[in-house]
Amino acid sequence: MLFKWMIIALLLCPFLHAKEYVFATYPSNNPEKIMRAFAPLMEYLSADTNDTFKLVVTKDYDELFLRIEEKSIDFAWVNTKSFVQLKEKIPSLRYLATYLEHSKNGQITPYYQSFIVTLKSLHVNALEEAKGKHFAFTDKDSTSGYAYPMLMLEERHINPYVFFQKVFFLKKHDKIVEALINRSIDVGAMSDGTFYNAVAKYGDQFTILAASEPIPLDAIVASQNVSKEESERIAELLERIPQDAASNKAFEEFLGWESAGFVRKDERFYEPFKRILKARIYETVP
Amino acid sequence: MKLYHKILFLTLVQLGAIVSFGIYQIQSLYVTQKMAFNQKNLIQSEMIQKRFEEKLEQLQKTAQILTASQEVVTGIISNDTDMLYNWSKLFLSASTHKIHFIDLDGTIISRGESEFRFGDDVSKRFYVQQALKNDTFLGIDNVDNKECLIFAKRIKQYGEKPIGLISVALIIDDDLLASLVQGTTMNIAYHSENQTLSATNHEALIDASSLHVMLQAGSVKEASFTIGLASDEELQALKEARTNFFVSIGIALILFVFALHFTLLRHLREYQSLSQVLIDFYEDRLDIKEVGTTIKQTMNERSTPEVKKIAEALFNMSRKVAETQDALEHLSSTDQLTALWNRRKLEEFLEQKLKESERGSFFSVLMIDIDRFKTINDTCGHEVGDHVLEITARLMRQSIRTGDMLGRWGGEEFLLILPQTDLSGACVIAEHIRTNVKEHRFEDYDHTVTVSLGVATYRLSDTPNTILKRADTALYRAKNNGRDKVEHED
Repeated sequence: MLFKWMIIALLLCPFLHAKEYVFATYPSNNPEKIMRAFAPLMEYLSADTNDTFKLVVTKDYDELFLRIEEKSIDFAWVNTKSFVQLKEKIPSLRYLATYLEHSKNGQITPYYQSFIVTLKSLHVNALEEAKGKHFAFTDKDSTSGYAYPMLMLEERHINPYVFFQKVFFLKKHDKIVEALINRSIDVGAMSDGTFYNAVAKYGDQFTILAASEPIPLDAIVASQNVSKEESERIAELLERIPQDAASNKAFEEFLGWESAGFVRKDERFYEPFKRILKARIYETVP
Repeated sequence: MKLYHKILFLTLVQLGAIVSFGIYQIQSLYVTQKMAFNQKNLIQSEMIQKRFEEKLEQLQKTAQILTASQEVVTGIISNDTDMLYNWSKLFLSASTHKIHFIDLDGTIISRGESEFRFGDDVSKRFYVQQALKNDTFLGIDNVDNKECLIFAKRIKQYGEKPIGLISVALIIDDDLLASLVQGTTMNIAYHSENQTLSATNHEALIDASSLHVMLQAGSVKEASFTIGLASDEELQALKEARTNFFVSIGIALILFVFALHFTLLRHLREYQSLSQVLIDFYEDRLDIKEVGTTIKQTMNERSTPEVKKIAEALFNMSRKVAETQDALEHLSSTDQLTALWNRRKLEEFLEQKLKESERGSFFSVLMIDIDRFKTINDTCGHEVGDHVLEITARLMRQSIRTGDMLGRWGGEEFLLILPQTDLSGACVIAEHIRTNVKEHRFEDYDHTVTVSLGVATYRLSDTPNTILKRADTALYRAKNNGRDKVEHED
């Protein structure tokens, strides 16, 4: 009899401990697309942990930061810049894994690049020639859409707010492409993935004026809500995602990301980015 | 005034009064309806005016809400195209087609209606310059090559520092005009130097007037809104109904006058013909028998019942008069005792025969006298004498031909006129009479009665006296020759 009760208790144990985790990400694209792209990943995690993973797309980076600080989210998908900033601000933040992508040279890599792009038809072949043009970043919190482009400009001693006639912020990488095509801007900063998607969509009508050094891809982090053991378990699960997983396919289908899963690196993997934060950032028109 | 004119005048006066009243009523109805029509149009015009003002208010309200947002202010300061787009697209509607955020240089930061179109320079636009200069602009100007109603407003940080502009615009197109006049019978037209638009297909506006809107003068020249009736079918139908009524009344009146005229003429002509018969009668153009014949003809013609009755009465009256006249004439022409023509009538016959003889006819006369009649009267009394006269007259009548004229000339003397009879023929008849009388046996008189006869025939240039004189001479000779004889002129 006692043995029977022990067996039942053991069987019910996982359900008794089942939790609901909130997994947050920033609005890198249309929220609806993000929800659909992330749905298979959430299902994968829920199935393998017997816990429930609920996705939240924050309004912007500020909200994401705030909610991590408030511990109203358990896991977060953050970009490189956000990770470095968050880690400095919240040392207890746990690194779990780094996102992997298929690069254009056929390798699977945890890096990507930022490009400053213009239209070939404008006959601008170097960044220095783009003076007086309309320029667009994505978002000030974006790594490839702001931080690295700003670094590339700074290396050329270009204050964008002075050098360009107008500087716009379009939030989304795709919108940089559409704004270029519509001639609303002349030059724009975007991730390499966005650039290659644009070439695929509109053909070879873009010129890369500047390319950044490799940038670590986005990181998955856990807040203090999650125990070390649980964080380890989730990190392992992420790393075990196979190449042909539904989550990878969904990222490609809805966001155009050539996802290859996750890899567990060290927090020091993101150390080089701290240099970016220390670089001179022209915040606005002097 | 003639009866015709009296009837026509009185009828027309009454009819005119009725028609005038009818026209007055219709005109009153028309005026009332037209007033109601104008009132309806006025209300509709005010409604359209109100709708237009609401459109302008909507533009201003939208601009007010958006510029009150701190996020919008931040978005303008930081040129955050995406945020401004996300805000402005929420406010796009059928009343707000375009929302543009513009920086102080006149560069569009964001278009609510077009996510990827921005960065163009609109600093030269009239509405931008006006808004930068005067804080606001409400008017008509070109936005993205479309003429729009625009409200542009300068955006200030903390209510003090100008940081940019917002322009909220409504495209002036057929849909806008249609929405303004929806559910009304009005039409609205927009006219500018570049285009002319109308809410409906009707090109012309009826009773057109300008829309009273306080819009600032823009770069679009001669821009104006005009409202008027889309169609005057309703009013035209009303006018047509009135005209039709008047025309109908007019035609009916004319037809009635004609009908009355001809009816009166027809009736009065019949009365007139009857009266003409009577006039002819008393002016001796017709005798009473001709009056009867003429009236009978009238009766047989297609006459109205009233005229027929009068004609019938007149006919009966004329017949009675004729009968009475005949009776009187008979009485005045015959001898009471013998029932033969009297002397007056015989003289007429004789005159007539003499006249006829002038045209080639001829005749003879017999003067007849009862022999010794005085003796019969004296011996047997007047009653027997009268009896002898009466029977002798009958015997003579039986002895003559139809057409011969026999009458009592006086006392026991008779005159017989024999048309178309020569002397010998007259003698034969005279002899026949003499014989018949002589051979007759009287009931109340036992003796034989004889007659003496003198015969004369017409001679040219005879007068009544001459021919009678000759017959009388022959009679005298018959008396002298022993009575009961027939003697003729030489």
